[in-house]
Amino acid sequence: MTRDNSEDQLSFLIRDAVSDVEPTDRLSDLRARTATTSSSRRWWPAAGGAVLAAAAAVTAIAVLGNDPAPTVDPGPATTPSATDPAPSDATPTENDQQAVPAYFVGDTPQGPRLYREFQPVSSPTLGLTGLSLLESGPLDPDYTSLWPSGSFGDISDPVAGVVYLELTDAAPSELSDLALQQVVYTLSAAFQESLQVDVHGPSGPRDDIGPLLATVTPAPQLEVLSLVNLSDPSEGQVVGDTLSVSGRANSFEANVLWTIEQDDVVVDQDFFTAEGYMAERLFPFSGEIDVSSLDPGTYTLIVETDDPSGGAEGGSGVFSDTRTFVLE
Amino acid sequence: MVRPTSVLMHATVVPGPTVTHGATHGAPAWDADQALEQLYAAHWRSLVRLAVLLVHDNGLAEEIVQDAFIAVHDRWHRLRDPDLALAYLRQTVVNRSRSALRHRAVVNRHVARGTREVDVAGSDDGALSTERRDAVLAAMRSLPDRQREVMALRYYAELSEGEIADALGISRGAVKSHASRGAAALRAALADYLEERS
Repeated sequence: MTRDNSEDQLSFLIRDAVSDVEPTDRLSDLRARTATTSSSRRWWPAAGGAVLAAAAAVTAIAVLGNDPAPTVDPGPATTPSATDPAPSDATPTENDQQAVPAYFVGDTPQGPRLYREFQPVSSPTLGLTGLSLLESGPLDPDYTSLWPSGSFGDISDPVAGVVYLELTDAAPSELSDLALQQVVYTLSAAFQESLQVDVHGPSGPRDDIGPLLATVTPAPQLEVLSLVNLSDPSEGQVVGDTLSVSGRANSFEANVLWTIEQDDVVVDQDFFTAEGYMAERLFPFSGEIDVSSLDPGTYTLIVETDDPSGGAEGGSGVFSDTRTFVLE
Repeated sequence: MVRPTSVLMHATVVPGPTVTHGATHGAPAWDADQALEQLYAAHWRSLVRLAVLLVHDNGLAEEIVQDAFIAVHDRWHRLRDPDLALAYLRQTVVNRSRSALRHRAVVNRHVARGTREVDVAGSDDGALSTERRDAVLAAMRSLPDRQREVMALRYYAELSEGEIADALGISRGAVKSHASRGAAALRAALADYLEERS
């Protein structure tokens, strides 16, 4: 190497600075860790029945088929995916519409938290559609979004698990943690991996990229999500003799209590059993409610977590989610 | 002892984040486990050294690279071109190094660190080269994130401007700008060592 110019000198100095670094051998450690993680990480979960599984797979492929760039980074391998991204309960709707998840803000006993809502969208674009739902707002009037219309500018595809997102001047000037979690949870659900989102301000005419405002990864589910969250029915759904209910919860003994009310009068109640509760995440629940004996009209379905402490002893309080449905 | 620097990181063509690959039928010849072994044998040391340049901490660098290997292993079946595995590994290392530094910056506000972060293996190098290496790593550490990344990818990994732009998800113009500012800052910080050799 010639050292007669400063380029080569810098090159030498930089290489030399690490020339004596001899890393320890971690191959056996790597083998052990990949042996356990390779089987546990899936693109879409197995659904209940074979037919349902096939339908879910078709949906997932259709969505993933839009992925224009390969990605490698599903998030820190030592922690399970912080989100529960695969929308197993996202069913194809009419007219080739797909159910796209977005995370909105609603009240809970622990203050405002995120609720996932699926909205039917024709020909969604991976990532962009979720963000545009944050701008256009929720279907459920109990939810809200912290992102006004036009907040989001350019967005990159995930590269090594990182998305670069540019905000516009329409975005809130103060970025709350919850607003940022709305974005990272929604994008992670879209790309089905736990992402890091680098949030940049608007770029000036001469900048390539705006100033970095925040780097966000998904917060733990039990700290940021409502502990009960309905996926079905959707708000205002018209139903026949059977009300199909699904969602996610983390509730004492996996009990998810449900109530159907009309004009604040309870007309029926029972409970679902979620698939678990002893972990730091939400678990799916689902069930069918026979509503054939009810008169036509508008009803409210309420699901709640079970809180045997009655709100005392550091209990987390009763979380709830509601949907209006119409019986014809 | 100053070992001859073996740079194992010559890149193949690195696609930009928005390049669409049409063909998905070319299945990897290796399965994920085989690929992990091969990539480890070829790139473990050079990637750890790259990470040391970025985070100035050997243990942390190893953690970062190990996680990157696991990430690639998990996604092996989705890599449309296995030849690009090194590019993915490198991007992952750079991104995670940046995250790790941010995380540590927050932690360091509360925990004062008095210990030297890089342990030097060779004791027969002599005080001068040890001091020089420390100075180089400290100077790298003092650069803004992007400048440090561009410096490491350019001078250690020997990537082209276009490859660096793809790896960092920024434009070639930005790479130029970061490279020129980074080099100027390093020259100023390391003037003593540069003059010795001129």
